[in-house]
Amino acid sequence: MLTANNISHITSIKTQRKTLLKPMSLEFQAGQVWGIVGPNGAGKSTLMNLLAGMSKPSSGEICVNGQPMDSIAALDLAQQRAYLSQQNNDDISFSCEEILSMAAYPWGKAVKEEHLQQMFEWFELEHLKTRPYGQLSGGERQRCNLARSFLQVLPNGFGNSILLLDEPLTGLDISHQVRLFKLLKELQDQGITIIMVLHDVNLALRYCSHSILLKDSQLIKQGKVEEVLTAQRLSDTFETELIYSAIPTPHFYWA
Amino acid sequence: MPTYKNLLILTLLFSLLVMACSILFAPSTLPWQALFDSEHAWRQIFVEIRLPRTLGGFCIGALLAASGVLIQGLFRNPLAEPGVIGISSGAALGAAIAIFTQSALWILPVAACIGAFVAVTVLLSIGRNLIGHQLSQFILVGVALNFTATATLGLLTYLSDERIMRSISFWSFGNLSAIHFSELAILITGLVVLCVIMPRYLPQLNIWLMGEHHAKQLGINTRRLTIHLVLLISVMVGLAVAFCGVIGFIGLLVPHSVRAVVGMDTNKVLPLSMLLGGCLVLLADWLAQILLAPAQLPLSLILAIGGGPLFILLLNKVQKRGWA
Repeated sequence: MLTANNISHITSIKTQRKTLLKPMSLEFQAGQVWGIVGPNGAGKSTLMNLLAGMSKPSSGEICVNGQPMDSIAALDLAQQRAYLSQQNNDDISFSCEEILSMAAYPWGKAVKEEHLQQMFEWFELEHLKTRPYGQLSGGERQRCNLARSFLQVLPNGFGNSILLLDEPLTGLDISHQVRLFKLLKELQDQGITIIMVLHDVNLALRYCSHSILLKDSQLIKQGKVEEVLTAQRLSDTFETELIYSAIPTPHFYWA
Repeated sequence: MPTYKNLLILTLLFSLLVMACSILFAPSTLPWQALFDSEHAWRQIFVEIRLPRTLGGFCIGALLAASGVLIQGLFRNPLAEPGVIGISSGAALGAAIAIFTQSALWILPVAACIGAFVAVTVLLSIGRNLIGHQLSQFILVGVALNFTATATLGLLTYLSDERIMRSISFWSFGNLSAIHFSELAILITGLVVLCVIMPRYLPQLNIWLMGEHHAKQLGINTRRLTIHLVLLISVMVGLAVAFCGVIGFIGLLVPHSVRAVVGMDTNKVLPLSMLLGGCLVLLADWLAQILLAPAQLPLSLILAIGGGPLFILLLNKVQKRGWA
């Protein structure tokens, strides 16, 4: 479980103060899948950075399973949550297998062979494992990155883990998108907490249990996905006319 | 493809062979029977000149190659190298100041380490915003630093008397002839200590190479890692430069060749690079002694003649394909 109490984020570059996130309180419980939705520059990645403990909020406090994030040792935190950001260094030649084995770092021992095999299977990486990362396609890289994030918290058991995924679908083809969401669904049943940034409101509507809508560094609405993502609210937020339809499955479309 | 373990054993054997050859054949063949005859004049040459020179040269090569691996890791830049980006010149300047003030022998490496430390710190603070994004711009910052340090070194030679000037100019070219037992003792101690400390940083360095964000996410204290790496690099470059002067390109040439064979894993790249770096210095020293015998060429000259063109090739390759 992850709770954020009245967190905000303000940076000052030279003398200019810029508010990246206005105060908001959030609560992410085990077994929930959250989709953070909002226009470009709304503060989605900033929020993810704060929730992952990468930067300290300017005000407020974040607790992981009831414990204040400040008081958790960095390695312990890394055992409980994995964060896949969009800031990945593509200019490297580690093999996919080497990258995955780094995920064991917080645990201080080598990654288990069975865990590694499981990741190869889930993300269809078996045939890529010796290839240098730099030579992989965008989608293959993303699968490798997803696999290392899952592997990082796997020894913990997914029930106690928190996964933060910033645009996890980047580069994935439709078949791998579907695979990923099926996998997330399975893990959700095991009690994992997932928080992800999504650009596709229809995917958020279909696969997330809860949603956060952000705009201009501000929380517009949070809660159950069908309550947050309504045609009216989305149209206002994105300044684009969206129409809701329940047939064949609930979705939005635009003219 | 040989496994890493076999490769390491092979390289180790090769290194021993190179060292033995360096002692026995460089620059002229030494009758090996003489080694066991305490009356023989050759024995003195062996014990007092060739042994320290060979072992010292090997240590220096290992230190420079290792510093190359760490510097490239720290700056996440495959072109970073102590000679090219001015860290060696910083160390040489530190050493020159120690000579200028006529300090004791042990002050020399300490001053060189401090010089290297200042250079890395300057690079880190100026070049920080360029790291990983603009490879060649970062190198330019280093080149500017190199100019400044070299010019200050030159200025210092003008301020000193002839005896000091000679020893300072020796530092700017690189030469193994000044290594005797006391120097060797300091070098070996330093190298052994570093070999004990370094392995624990290698897994972190691998992750660091993936990006600072990822390293932080995995629970690495990136600030502490950076500071420790800077200290390690300073000691390595400082030690090497203090006893043989500035020799470039080892830290670039060797890690690159090794990476081409074993990939990017620092756990594998570092040991192999250290061994091959030692071999390369001994080979260059052999050439330096025989090419214009009886005159001795500066080591840096030999390495730069080969290293310069190679650097251009690498620059081209790195711009196109990164680390791969």
